[in-house]
Amino acid sequence: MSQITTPDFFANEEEATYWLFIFEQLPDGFGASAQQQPSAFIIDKIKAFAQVYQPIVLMGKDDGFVIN
Amino acid sequence: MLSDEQLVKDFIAGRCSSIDVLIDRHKAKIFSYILMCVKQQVLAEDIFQEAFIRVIKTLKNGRYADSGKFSSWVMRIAHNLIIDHYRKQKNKSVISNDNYEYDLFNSSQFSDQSIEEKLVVDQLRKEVSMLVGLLPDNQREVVVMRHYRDLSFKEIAEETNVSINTALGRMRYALMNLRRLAEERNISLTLS
Repeated sequence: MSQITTPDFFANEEEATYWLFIFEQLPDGFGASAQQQPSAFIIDKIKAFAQVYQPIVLMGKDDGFVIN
Repeated sequence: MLSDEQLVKDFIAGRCSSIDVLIDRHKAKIFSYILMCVKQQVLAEDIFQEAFIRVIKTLKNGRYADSGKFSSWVMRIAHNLIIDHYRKQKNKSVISNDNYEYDLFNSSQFSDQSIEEKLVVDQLRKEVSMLVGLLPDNQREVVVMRHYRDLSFKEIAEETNVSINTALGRMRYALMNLRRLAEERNISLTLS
């Protein structure tokens, strides 16, 4: 009989909800001096996306395109 | 200093620099939250990126209803993405190898390399490295960026200030030159 093991995802979801509650109470500047930060490349990509994303309505639905 | 609400209004009105301020202001806290949940830098960055892309799309599509703190809204989006990630993982099951009559992984394709294989691979890497060093500068640059730094052709084009087609063309010529150089020096570039 094979053993199937699965991590406790329900506990992970509960933990995520718990941390959300905690982080919502923290000041906005929290984590600014943390060692692990999102990489500069990711931040630049997001900012670039904000510049080029254009919303359109396609067949009645909100959609968008990116000017490359 | 402008408030988050004012920056959001400015961004919706078309001032793109406002979202830069919002991202810089809140990135540390939001990323810390995501990382605390998923505990992996790369996965946290994926979720972080996806969360902000959704934020940008919602703001630009005029679907944002200002009903509280901007950072709380973004964290809720991140939270939902984290939950989605866990639920996708739930569908993948892990099977133990213990109760089979034979070991599924007792196969040469899963075993470590032998000393001989390691020596062959090392030698091949040195030869390839030597051949790459013989390429013209612009071709060598593309090869190094693609295969050693794992950049996409779009990123290579941006970094070297050329079009994607030029970057692709340089790679093509680099590969043709590598093959020719290997033939001239009687170097076999295959593992057998």
